[in-house]
Amino acid sequence: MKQSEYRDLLVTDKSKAQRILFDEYLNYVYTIAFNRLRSCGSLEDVDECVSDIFKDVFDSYEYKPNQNDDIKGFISTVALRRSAAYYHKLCKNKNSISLDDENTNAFPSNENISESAEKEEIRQTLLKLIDSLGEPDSTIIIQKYYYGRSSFEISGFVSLSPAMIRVRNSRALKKLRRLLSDNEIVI
Amino acid sequence: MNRKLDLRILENCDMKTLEVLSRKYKAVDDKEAEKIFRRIENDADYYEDVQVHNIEPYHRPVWRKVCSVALPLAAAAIVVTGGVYFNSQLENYKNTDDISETDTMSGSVENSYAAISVTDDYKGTILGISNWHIEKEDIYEYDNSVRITFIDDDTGNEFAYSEIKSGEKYAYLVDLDNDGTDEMICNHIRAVVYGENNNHAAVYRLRDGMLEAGKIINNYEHILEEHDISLSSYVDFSDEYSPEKNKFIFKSSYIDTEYELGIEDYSFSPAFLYPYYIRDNTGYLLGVKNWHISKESVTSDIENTYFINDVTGEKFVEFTGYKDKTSVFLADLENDSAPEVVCNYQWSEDQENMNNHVKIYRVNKGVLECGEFLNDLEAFEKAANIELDSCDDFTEYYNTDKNKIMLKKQGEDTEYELGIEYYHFKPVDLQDTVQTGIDTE
Repeated sequence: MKQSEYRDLLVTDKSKAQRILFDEYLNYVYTIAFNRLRSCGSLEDVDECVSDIFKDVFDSYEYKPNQNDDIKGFISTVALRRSAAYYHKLCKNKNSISLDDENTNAFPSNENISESAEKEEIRQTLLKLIDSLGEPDSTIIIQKYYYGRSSFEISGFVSLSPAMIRVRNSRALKKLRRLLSDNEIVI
Repeated sequence: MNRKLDLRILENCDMKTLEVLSRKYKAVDDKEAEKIFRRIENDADYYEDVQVHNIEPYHRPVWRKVCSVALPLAAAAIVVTGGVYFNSQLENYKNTDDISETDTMSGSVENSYAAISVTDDYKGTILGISNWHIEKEDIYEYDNSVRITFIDDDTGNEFAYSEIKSGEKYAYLVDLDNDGTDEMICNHIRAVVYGENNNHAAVYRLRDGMLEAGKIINNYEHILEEHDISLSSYVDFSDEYSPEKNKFIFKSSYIDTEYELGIEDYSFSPAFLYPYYIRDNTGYLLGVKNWHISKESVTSDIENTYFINDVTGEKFVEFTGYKDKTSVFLADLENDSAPEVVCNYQWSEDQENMNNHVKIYRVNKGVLECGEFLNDLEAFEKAANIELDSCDDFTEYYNTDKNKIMLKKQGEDTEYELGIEYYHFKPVDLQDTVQTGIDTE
């Protein structure tokens, strides 16, 4: 959906417009928020963050006309910033310093560029290996070990009983470990 | 090798990885999506500064809101690359965010969600069940009371019921205990006193996959004591859910005051107790409402048992065994509130010296399936470290006390637990009893 299409619909049916936008981008926004808050926020925090992101987006489009047509770009920026704000609120990093502090420049960045690039490569390979397991095994692995969902909850994503999910998970995990080992990936 | 797979490496990742994750994997199920959208809608109502359901509104000072949003945003602005392009837009959303915010800050009512009314139009998920339907049945004609039964289409089992007057909402969905999952509140009619129903609420909720029902019947004496109320029995009062107040209203024709109750006043226990022995009149079974049991003699001491669908004439459960030595239970082997029909029966390859075995029937995603261990010995052999030559080499039986299927190798005393995961399930080929000439009397 383009911003202009959304705006047209917003005039005729605001609820419908917002619902369509929500349905189209929920997975994207939730993925961004969960990715940032996975280790320090609860699922309730992620839900709250996601709803805040959508409220920001809805309000922005309602009150500010003449915006760029790239809805996805705008939503991703709002989502990243909101998630970062939540992260700082929830995690209270002890090493953080004020941006107004005169000594700010004296602190070197913790980011190791070569390490980041290596991690990025590992992530891409890891996702490819998980994807190579095929469905529903790849979904089971991601839902269980990334999103932390139980077999019962995963049964809402794949058409299998919780018992069958446990069986498939066990087999898929063995296969994935073998693939990781073959690719010399240690995680 | 059983250590947990650690996917922390995917946390706080680059946009390319995020794109792949979001494109390939669903992050939210439909129920969660509905919950988030409702949260947005409800919060939008707060912007309009409307006092909702008697909740005391709390206005957070604007300066605090400005600080809480602006500071993290300033920090985040450095982290996010490529965001400059959208800065003008973000300036605006910051402003709208600051307009006015009203949070709930009531000690008595913490829940900020509005209840969803379950009617014929509602198609969403209930208690984690996305495929369901209702069946309506008149209770009493004189007061237009109707029984609403909620059936899980995937398992064929009843999972909740409500008793209402015609025209009333069937049930309400609301997250009363703020655990992120909606409870379902149904009304149950207990008695009619002076023409008025004494209605009692039943709260259905999921706990660790187990469906529980909360009622006040085991707890109401404390309420009487606390408020110094003199009532002699459960039928002297009603406790109905009020969606407007998001509370349970305790009232009686014998007292003038109405009292508001919360979910903490309800005591919970499993909604359905399993296992239980299945008889003809057990009720809804494997998605079949009207059915009966039929027996067919094979020899003087062996018989076949069939469960016959009264409407279609089809056999939907069948097994063989020695007369008076077979048994059938409705059991929840996985403790997931989706019970299975478990048959203790006897069988052998030569039809002589038959051993105890177990068959499991279940409805999975709307399809009737039968599971047997006989076809899949290898996985269990490895897990239990035993060798089984054939189905005549061991016995299985369902132990009701343990709610487990136990396996014993011939000539050995050791019993092994045999999980449902070792059973190989296949769709049942429903056969018409008329064609097979079985006596269904």
